[in-house]
Amino acid sequence: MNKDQKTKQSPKLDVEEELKQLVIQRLKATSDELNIVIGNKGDFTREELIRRVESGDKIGKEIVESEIEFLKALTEGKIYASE
Amino acid sequence: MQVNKALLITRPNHDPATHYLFYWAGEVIFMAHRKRITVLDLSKDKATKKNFDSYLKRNQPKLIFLNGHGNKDSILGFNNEPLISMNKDDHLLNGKIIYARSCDAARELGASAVRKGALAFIGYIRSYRLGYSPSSITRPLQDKIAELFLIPSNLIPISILKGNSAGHANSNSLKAMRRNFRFMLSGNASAAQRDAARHMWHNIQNQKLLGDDSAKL
Repeated sequence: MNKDQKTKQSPKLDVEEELKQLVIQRLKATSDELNIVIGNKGDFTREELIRRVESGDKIGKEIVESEIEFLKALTEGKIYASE
Repeated sequence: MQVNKALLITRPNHDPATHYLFYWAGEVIFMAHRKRITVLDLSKDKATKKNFDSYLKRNQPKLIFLNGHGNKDSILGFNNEPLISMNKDDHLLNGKIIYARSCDAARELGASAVRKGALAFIGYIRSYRLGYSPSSITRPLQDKIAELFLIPSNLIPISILKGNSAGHANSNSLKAMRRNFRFMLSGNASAAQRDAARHMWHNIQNQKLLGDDSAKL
């Protein structure tokens, strides 16, 4: 693959990787006094969640997706919507 | 079909998630007793398919509160044995009000049960998340993170036991979740409570009521 082709294919992958790194950094900043049960998928420590996001498995993708939804809600002010 | 003013509750306890749900469901049982409503309690290893079917057919309870794992097709009991499955035995929920504190069940199973005559089905269209403090796992009722998730969730069956409609119960629960969510983002929350806010937001987005929102016990 030449450089031009690489440039054409890469933006989506770059964004995905950037989002993944953003979520990893945010997870690293969280408390280790918090475990999360994600339904029937198990319960996870902070380190386990980071590993799942790094590996990009199903749980990791779900975590990235919901973290982005949460960030969007924060920035769009949805979380302050009336009861 | 005659249904009875009774609560059927399933609460297995075979892993950390069900351990928390088991203990916190006790608050709902306490409220049912106070309201003099019959409680059919399938706890721990009694939460089997055989017992569930037997209690359901013999007692015809109008309110069913399911605690445990689940997926879009089924809700599970002790050791993840399916208790109710889409297009297999979801017709057994005919005439009932159901709250499924389990993953994904509102996505397809809930809709299917409502099509087959369930009055109302409250559940989650994606995973149900629960934050907890690992240092409180032996004292789940004193867990200051888990209570933010489980008190609003318990409000669904408690509101129904108090005579409110399914719609009112769901709305009470969502209001309590939003209140807790705002607390979690505030300076009064601990770091761990604040970090759990993203998961509370996930539950708020995914808790749904299907069927008749005026259904009452």
